[in-house]
Amino acid sequence: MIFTVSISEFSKLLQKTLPVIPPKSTLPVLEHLHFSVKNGKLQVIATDQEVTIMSVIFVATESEGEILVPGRRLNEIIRALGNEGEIKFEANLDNYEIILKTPSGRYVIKGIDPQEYLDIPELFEEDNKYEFTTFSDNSNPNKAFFAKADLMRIANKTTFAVSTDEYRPAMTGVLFQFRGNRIHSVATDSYRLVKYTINSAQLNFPEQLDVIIPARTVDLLKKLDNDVFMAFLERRGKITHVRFEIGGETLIVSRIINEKFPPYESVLPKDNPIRATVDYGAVLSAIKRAAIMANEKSKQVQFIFDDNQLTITGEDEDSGTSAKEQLACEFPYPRFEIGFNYKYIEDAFSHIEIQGIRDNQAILTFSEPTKPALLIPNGDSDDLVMLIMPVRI
Amino acid sequence: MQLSENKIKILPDFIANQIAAGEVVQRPESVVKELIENSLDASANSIALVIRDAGKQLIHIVDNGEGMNRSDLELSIKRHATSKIRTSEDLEKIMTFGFRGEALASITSVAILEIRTRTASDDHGWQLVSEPLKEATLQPFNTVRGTQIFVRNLFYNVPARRKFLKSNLTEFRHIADTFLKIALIHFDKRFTFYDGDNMIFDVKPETQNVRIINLLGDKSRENLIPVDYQNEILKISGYTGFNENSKVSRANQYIYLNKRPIVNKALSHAIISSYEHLIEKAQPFFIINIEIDPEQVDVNVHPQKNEVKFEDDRFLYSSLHKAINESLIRTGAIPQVKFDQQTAMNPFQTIGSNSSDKENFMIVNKTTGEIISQNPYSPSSNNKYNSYQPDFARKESGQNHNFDLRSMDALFGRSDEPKSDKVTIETNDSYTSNSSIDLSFHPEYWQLHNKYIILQTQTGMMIIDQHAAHERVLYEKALIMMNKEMKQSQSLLFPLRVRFSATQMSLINELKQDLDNLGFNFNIYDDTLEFIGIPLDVKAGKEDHSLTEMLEVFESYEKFRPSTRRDNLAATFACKNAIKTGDKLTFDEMKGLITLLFKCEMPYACPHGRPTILEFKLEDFDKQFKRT
Repeated sequence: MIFTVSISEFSKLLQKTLPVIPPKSTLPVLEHLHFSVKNGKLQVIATDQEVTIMSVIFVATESEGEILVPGRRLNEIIRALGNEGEIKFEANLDNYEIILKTPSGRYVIKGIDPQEYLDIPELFEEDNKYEFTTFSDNSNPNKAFFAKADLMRIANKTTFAVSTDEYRPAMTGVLFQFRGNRIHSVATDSYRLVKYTINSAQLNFPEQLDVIIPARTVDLLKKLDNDVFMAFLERRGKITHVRFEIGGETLIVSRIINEKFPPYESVLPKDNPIRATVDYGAVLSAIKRAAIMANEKSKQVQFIFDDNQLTITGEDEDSGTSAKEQLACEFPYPRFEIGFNYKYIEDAFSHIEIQGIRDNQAILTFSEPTKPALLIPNGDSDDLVMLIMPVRI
Repeated sequence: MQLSENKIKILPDFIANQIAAGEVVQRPESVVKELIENSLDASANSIALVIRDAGKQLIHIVDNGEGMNRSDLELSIKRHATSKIRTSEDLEKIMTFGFRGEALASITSVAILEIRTRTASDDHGWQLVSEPLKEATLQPFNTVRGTQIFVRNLFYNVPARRKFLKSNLTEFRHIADTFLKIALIHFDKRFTFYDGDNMIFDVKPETQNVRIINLLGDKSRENLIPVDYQNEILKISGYTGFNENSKVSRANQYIYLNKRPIVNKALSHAIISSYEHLIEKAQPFFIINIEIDPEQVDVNVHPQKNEVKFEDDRFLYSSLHKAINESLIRTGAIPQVKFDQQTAMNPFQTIGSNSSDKENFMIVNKTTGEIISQNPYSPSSNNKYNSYQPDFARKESGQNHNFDLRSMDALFGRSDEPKSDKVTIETNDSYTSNSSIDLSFHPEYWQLHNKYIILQTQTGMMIIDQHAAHERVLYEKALIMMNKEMKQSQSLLFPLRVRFSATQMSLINELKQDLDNLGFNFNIYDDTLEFIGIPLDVKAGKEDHSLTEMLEVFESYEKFRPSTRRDNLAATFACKNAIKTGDKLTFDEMKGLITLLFKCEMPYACPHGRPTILEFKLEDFDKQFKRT
């Protein structure tokens, strides 16, 4: 197996696939990328058994074949080669020795027999174990089209709020709620919640479908170089996988989280009567400064609204530090105080910006100091809603 | 048989006694315990115990107590006959060891009992012999004042019980342990213990620390730390010990309540937890007496009376914890390096006798419990002295033991007085000269291989492990930060419902306020708890787990500990951030570190239990250099 490829393209391909390689694994084979060269194309597969990614580029082929390549080591050497020029990849398929050649250098890596790679039936359509879920009656009955910007925005607005706690598997993913031409994407870790909605111009979304997609998979969608077709794979009538086809060259297949998402609609306050309009950029930087002085353990900052003024304080009695920031805001109500974990309120403010946000302003709404607070962008749309649970002071 | 005949009958006394004996007299050791307690209640100040065949053949007790007159003696073996309480009010405030009036009655139903006794006022004494199922015989007898009791052929009429007795060795150990326990606390009385013709020990009235050394052996002398604590309700006194020899076993851990040996897990924990991070994976020893108003305790919980109930467990726990802590701090549990240490590996332990008779001592094999009688052909007396330290030597070392290190000031005693000079110099002089003057009054520090700090103390020198010392400093700082009570509670978006057992629920109900103060915010629905807020430092997904853990700790020790996890966290933090072996320290850095170290609550060990400080005595150097 011999091919030649430009270093910059090869590097891009590795960047796409490497994130799937598990940092530690009891299966050494998972730390490898599956390379196969056929018909003038190099196909690279990486999997951690939950998410699988396959990406293809054209290469100048001298001979075809398959091999498993240690992913991180390969990536390191390619990165060290810079972004210019070409590299020749020669794999001896008898002893699995890989030689990388540049005009000035020669690097040898040890590969593995490709037969040892795991079966990934969900990746290949010809294996009949999985079927596409059909959800619309137009020309493309089982694929939902996403403009790349939309999907990227979903990924960027939601995953920060996902729970990392494996005891609550439902919260470790992002809920995709298809409702006609709308999709709500929801993430929560039970301390905060974010709901972001997009509208599709093309009516090709499932009428009514809820799936929870692991946060790791959604993270892979933060940087896209093409529009996406999203599809679902099912087995015996039950959806098991989600499949993203990115342009013609990349395919991501991921297991979905087969759990019940908590009933988030019921906890979103319908109308919080107290509303404060603030400059979100100013608040965000004030929170960051207050956080430095706040107690590292309690992570608590306090918001005090009074007389069109917002005071943000952070304090740590143990080390004797404190911070106080005063900002102008629109607040025509009696004094109101509420405490937050600074990490949660900071996350919310740093993700609140959306297209069409008015005057760089966001609106915080409350009912009581112990009840959920909402943060929404100032504007006409209700596409983005953040909910933050307060800290009882 | 007629149908009308009653099926239920009142048991004859004898059978009732035999049943009761099952509870009171479980093994020879129980007899020893009951009888010695009787002797103590009779205000004897000299008690001798002789056993044969591990008490199975004979248990013989001789005391010089008040004795009994004829009618008392007759009544003594009757069930529920007791001289110790008369009214039910007496039961509320039991001052004596016995009170149930069961012991002698029980013993007579399972053994042949002989009592010889005489009071001070009678001109002759009485002998009573009682056998199971036979009428007791009573006759005048010539004897000295006091009481002698012979219990022969224990359990001879209860073969099942006799069969279940353990080996002689084990039964002997039980007896020895019980007798020892009593002798340790009644150090103002004489106790003599014979196994057949072999004397095990004979201790005369003495102070408690001497008694402990006499009974527990030389090794304990290295590290007796006096405990003396008093508050409005109770008084805690005794000795505790700490050294590298402390064993993993729980041997030599004795708690007494008004001098009654008791078993109480919570109280032991109170003591052991004071030693936390001082002894790595080992147990301290302690001989602690708690004096408390008898009305505050209920000793009538179990026939054997080694379990007691307290009215205010939590207060007692915290008082005890405090008492031990104070002693440890006051004494400064520094490991001292002795050049002439005896080997600790010797399996033979001498149980020394009283000073007056140096030939009277026994050697006990610690591993087997076997007693090795003195062999007249054994090595010469010179060799004996190697394993047995005569009294005068003991006393001397006992004084050595009084740690000189009580505080920073005492440690560098000389720096104390010049300090006053310093003040005057300071006022006269400029700031610049200040530091140089300051230095001259402080001890010198040397850094050894960038690893240890050596400094001169009033009585010798100290070596401080720089990493361990810094670790301790950071650890205490982190602990203070971490264990601060935080009332803040992170509200949950999706209330978490967790089911608890009925007992846990009742505890939760009772402690709702305490839990609320810790940041647990919840509603209670029958057997389900709905968390609506959790402490900020509880990890997501572990809410119920951490509450359960806290409840469990509370149930066993009646005390909230935020969690041991925090301690571990603090230890990890300290270890990661402490200066390392190999870091070069300047003079000021060493000085700063040592000042901080001695401000610590427990400067003598790092959070992992390794020592931070070794102390070398000048006199030990002198010995090594043959200057003495």
